[in-house]
Amino acid sequence: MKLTSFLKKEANWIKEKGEDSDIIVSSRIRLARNLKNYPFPARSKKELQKKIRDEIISKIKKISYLKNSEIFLIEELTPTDKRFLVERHLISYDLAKSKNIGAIVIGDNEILSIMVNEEDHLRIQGLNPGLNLFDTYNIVSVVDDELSKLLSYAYSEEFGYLTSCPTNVGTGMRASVLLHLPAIVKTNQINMLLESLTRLGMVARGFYGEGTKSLGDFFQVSNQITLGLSEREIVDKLERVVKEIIKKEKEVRESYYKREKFEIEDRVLRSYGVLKYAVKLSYQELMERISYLRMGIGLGIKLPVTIELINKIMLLSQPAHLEERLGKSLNFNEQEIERAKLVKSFL
Amino acid sequence: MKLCDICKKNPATVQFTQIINNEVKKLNLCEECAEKMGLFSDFFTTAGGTLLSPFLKGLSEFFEEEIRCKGCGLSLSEFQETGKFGCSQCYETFKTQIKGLLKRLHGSLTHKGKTPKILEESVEDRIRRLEEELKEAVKKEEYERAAVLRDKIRELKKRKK
Repeated sequence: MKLTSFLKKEANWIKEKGEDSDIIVSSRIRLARNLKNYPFPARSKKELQKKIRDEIISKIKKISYLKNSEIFLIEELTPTDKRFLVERHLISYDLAKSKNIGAIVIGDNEILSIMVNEEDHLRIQGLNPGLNLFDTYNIVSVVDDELSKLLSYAYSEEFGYLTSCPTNVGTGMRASVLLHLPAIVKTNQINMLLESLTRLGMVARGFYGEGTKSLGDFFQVSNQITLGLSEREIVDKLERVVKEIIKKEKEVRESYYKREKFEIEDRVLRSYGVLKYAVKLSYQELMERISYLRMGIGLGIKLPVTIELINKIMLLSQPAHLEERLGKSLNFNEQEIERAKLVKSFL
Repeated sequence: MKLCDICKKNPATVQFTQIINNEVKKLNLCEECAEKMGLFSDFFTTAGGTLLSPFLKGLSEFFEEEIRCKGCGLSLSEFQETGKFGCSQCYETFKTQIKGLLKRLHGSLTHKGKTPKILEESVEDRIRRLEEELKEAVKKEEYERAAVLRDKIRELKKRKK
């Protein structure tokens, strides 16, 4: 358990920031980069993966922006550690599962992080609270520029940055926004929304990113197209789409509340009651209840909680966070009991 | 006597040599199979060049499984299985085969966005370098690449003005 120091820190992205913080959680930018002279991680033997990792890390250490960052080698982390990092949105599920000789570099306040030897040699990521794609892109791009002076990137005039998967080629950029869309989900309009996103070259993923389920009505909306558009155009397009989705969620909330005022107030306040008094809580149930609380705050229903506190509860009551905090592994039953205790202590 | 590589029945009387990825591939064919692949009709009625392409297409289908990336050894069928490339050279190796895929995925075939800092030369230098590449592409008869380069040069010259 090398990660306990992180428990004392607050993940930057849970902060309540900007307008519509009841709908927008965080903004993320990820750039995929590879080194020209080596095969991609999946086609490199372990010794070569290690060589690549060492080379990348030695260069990362020279970047002034990453001076105070912490570096963890994946093979030295326990399964709980890895899960903890997934829960904090610092590494992907794929890297946590992978047997690659990889690493994770985590910058100040967890805004910037770099995965080494995930699917690509480098995945440079920036994560900020609220709708903040342009600033996040700028930070990531500066670090990318610095690294490009020290490492020879795989790049072609024609196809741009060359990536293991052709779905990332070109800019290598995935921009995404984590949104909370309870009214659209509860009024069964989410599938329609997901379909129209596809037509716009966008895609919605689950709470922990690619290949994960939706939980508590949270969705990560991101660009699908990476080739033929500039980074700014991608960010701009995503931001416009996200603003449309926010508008839609607000409209649906309003009419839903008008139609079923007592029904909704009952569910929101009962959710608060369950979170405050339950003795056992699964993460699934917690997220369902939290979804009602967040929507309740958005609708102006009086509740003794803030969005930031709710985000904090969401973060800290995840399984690996409970285990790291208590310094021991917990079975499912113990987890539910500890989760309920923790949540109660915040309310 | 050698038998035809395609039907494996008739004696091979026509030998065809193709260079893929700088590797020489030889194909021994009987007259019947050679004709089926369009060798005679194309080869003798036209003066070669692009009109040979139906024949070359038939040939590449025959050879396709054997194309391997020189950088990492990945074959096209392995790529089709996993959907992932093995190294950055794969993009060049499988260029003709992946263009359709990239177009479907992204609706475009040309990068528009930032470039690595190390490649950020002055506009003049970049134009000069691209013009060199263009000459080379024309010499190698890589017309699609040449078209991309030509457009880039045009765009850069416009930006300069």
